[in-house]
Amino acid sequence: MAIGQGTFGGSGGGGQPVVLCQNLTKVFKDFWLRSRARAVENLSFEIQPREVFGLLGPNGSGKSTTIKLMLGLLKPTSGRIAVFGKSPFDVAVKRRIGYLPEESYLYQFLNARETLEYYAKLFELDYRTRQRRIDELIDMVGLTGAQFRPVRDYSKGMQRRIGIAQALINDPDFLILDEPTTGLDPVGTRQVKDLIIELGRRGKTILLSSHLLADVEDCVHRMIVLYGGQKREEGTCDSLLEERERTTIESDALDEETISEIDAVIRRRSGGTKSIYKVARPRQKLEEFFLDIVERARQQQAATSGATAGGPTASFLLGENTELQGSELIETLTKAPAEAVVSNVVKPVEATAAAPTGPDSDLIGSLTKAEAPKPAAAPVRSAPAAGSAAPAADVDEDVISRLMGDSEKPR
Amino acid sequence: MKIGERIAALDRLQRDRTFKLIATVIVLLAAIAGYTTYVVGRAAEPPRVEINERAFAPAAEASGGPGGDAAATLEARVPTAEETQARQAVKIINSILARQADPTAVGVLVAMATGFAVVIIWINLAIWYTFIAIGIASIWLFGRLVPGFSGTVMFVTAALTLWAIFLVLITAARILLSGPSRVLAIARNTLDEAARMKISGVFIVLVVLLLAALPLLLDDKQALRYRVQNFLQYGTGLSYTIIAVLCVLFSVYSVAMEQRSKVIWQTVTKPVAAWQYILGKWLGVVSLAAVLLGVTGGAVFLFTEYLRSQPANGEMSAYRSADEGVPITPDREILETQILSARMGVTFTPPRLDPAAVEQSIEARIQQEKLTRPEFGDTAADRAFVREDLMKAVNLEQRTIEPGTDKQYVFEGLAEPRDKGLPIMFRFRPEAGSNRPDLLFTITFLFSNGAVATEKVSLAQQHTITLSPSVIDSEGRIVVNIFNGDFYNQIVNPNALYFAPLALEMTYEAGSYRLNFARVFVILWLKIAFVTMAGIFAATFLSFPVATLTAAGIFLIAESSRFIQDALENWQVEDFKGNTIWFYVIIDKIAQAVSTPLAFYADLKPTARLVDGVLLPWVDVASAMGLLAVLVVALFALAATVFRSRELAIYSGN
Repeated sequence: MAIGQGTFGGSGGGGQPVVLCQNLTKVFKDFWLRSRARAVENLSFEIQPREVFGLLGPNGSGKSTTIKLMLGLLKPTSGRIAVFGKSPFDVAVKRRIGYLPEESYLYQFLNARETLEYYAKLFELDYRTRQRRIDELIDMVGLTGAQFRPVRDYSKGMQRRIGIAQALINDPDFLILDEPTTGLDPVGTRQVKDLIIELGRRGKTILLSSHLLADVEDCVHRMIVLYGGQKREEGTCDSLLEERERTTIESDALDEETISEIDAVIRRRSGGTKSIYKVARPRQKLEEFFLDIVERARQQQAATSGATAGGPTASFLLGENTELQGSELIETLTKAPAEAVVSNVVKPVEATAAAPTGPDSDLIGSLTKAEAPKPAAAPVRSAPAAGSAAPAADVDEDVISRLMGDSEKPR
Repeated sequence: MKIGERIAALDRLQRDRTFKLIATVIVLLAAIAGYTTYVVGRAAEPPRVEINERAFAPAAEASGGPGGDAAATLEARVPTAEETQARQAVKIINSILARQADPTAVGVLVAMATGFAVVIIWINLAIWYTFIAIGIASIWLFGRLVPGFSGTVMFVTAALTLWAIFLVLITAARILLSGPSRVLAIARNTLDEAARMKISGVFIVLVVLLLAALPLLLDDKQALRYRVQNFLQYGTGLSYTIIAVLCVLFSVYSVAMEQRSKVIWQTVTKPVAAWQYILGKWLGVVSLAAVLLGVTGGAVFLFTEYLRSQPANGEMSAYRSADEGVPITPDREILETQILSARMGVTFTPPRLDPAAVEQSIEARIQQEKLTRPEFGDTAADRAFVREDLMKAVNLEQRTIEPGTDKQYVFEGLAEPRDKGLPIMFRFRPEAGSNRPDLLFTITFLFSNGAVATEKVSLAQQHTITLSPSVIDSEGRIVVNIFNGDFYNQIVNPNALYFAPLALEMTYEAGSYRLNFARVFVILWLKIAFVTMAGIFAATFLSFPVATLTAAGIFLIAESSRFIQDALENWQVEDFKGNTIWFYVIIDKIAQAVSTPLAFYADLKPTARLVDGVLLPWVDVASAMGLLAVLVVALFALAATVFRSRELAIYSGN
């Protein structure tokens, strides 16, 4: 049954979910109105404000269809869907949405600046605001040197970057990213993930759809997993992924004797039922290794004709201190201890390369670097945005604080 | 540095404020210096053309009229048609020559040119225009130094000039569409797409090259007036067709292909309403049409003025007759007064029929029909059929003159030319039998004021007689009896004469050629605006190829709707036995339905009016604008409604 254009009660914000899906079904029919494919079936979920929400599933599971239903590109066959409490066909709702589709569907004859100029005008931004945001976004996505080339001359990754920029031009409250890292190199992927985390921390609501599970896991608070158009699982990363039967402890390098003693302690305390299964030396992730190499090359000012390193997050996206530009803003933010994570999030490679000044810097750096869980380690997650409905990690802080001694606790 | 980089560097230079200021100062100083030099060095008195008064002294005998002395006396009391026409032509030519020599007029021209140059500088085209000017100067110099390349010189000069016009117009259009509104953003994006697409570029270059090459195809030996008419016909008509086809194709392409390539997703997921998208697309395409029509109009106007400045048949130089006894050559006279003019036409008033007599006639016909077809019923449909048939017969009879007989025709509504003393051009196009081209028919025209004209003319060709305003009576009418033969010499033509609708017309100068020219191009633009919206409407719900066919079909039907309507008058839905052929009935109904609403579109005929020097009054422009606006708004509403209800993530069922 098609949904009309009325509202579903209230405006977005506060406790009202940004997206509300109830028994959503979409059946595609052919020219003769015969049912051909049930892309989405009886799907129900909510996305809360300031949440980074993951939409997972294999190819053909209904992820993109769900997104298109949210954006009014498709009409539901039955069920209901509301965005900010209103119908997806409400034009006013789209002022608050930024959308990056799975492919970069851009005007090939425009260059980067013209592309952003066009989309900025669709939001009726005034000239000064447009120019400022365009400059910041182009710098942020690392296309400053290529901004006057037509989009048809861009590589896939460069087109993806400009796609990300156009999704952010209106400083959206709700950002929909469909496979955002497709076509990006590891540096670009890292930056996108950092950006997502940054924006999430700044109070944006983000829907991230991907089948690159590692990327999703690093960024989202909550997720649903689709298969065959139906929801199979829903929950936070911890609730879905945490193995409660095991514990991972990471420490400085230990000798065999110490390890044996720890094993003995575990056996004694558990009455022989528990023991150490595996002892391994952690290794650097390939992503970090790659980023190290790139950063060293940049510092040596090696030539490249592709996209350059992205600049700082555009100031208008950070929501505060909009008079400050780029690196000035980041610098200001990184002075606050609680915000120290930001600098590492924006330029994790630099944080890695910089010599730590003390135990505190080391710990914070290691916590924010290790974005993906090691095979036998507990998942390391970024701190959720303040005041968000982020799920509380079921963390035994007493154990950690004992291990850490007087070091600063993570938020 | 690569060429692309050089071009980009030059573009940045001409956008620099300091550069613009310096260039403006240079242009202003050059204009002042040039004008001062002209004023100091010009001749004291402008040249003039004088009429030979002796040529119009009363004749001792009139030719071909009864009571010859009386006729001659009659004609001596009032100026003859030829004298009136000659005086009118001299007046026009002297005003042209005076305007050319008037320092004030020249000053205005210099000021306009200077203003234009300053505008060019400040819209960032200074360097491109400089290159174009250098190119034109170079080719002219080449033409002077190397003889035998005049055609090439003219072609390249014309092409560069048209390109310059195109640049300034497209830049102006982009500036006008540069506001922050969504509709304007979509419009400007559409315009940019058109300007940068290869296929559009081909059309644009085709228009430019066509207009540049057309003058080379004119026959120098042909009379100047025919060359001007041919150029107006092909320059305007062909260009309009090319531009209309481009706009139809591009309007469909722009909407359909965005859906197909999913680029549209990025637009409709922004706060853009369906009507804003449709309106923006339409505005972008009609802006392109306006630019291209501006180029065409500029080219046609400029080259027509150039042709006008060439010697006409019988002239040794422009406006100077080779024969001292003939101040104005016929070729020049017709060109200035009939072609490069804006003439109002009046057709004869149909006879006022007596309703009672009509009903009696209908009744008689019905009774006559009953004799041969007893089943012929006395229904309202039958009576309507008989009435229509009767009216056709009356019309045919009114327009047909049997050999050796005459018919009277009354032309009303001519008070204005009488009061202004304007000469009347009597246009007629006789037809007879099979219109053999080797036959000449003698026709006598007897006017109510006693004036007589006997003409020996070819068939199926348009002919013109110039009349003095004295033939118009006090009620603003011209009453003329047309005799099929030579009335005074008792020569009768072998066949009946027939005058088709609009083949008998009185015309007089009712407006300025330049304004008429502008109105013609406004009408052309309005027509393109309609077919553009038709294309966009089709593309909102059809795939690209189907939408293209649909839009092209609408365009062709609109252009030929009058032809279809005329053909339907003779369309028979019954066979020779009187049986109804239902398939033909269906065709008739469909043809009527599609052509009737668009008949006015075909009747506008702006190009034909321009070529024939016929006035296109503002009231016609306004009514055309109103009717086309209704159609455009209707299509717009349909397109927005369809677009709003579409699932844009699905394209043509995929």
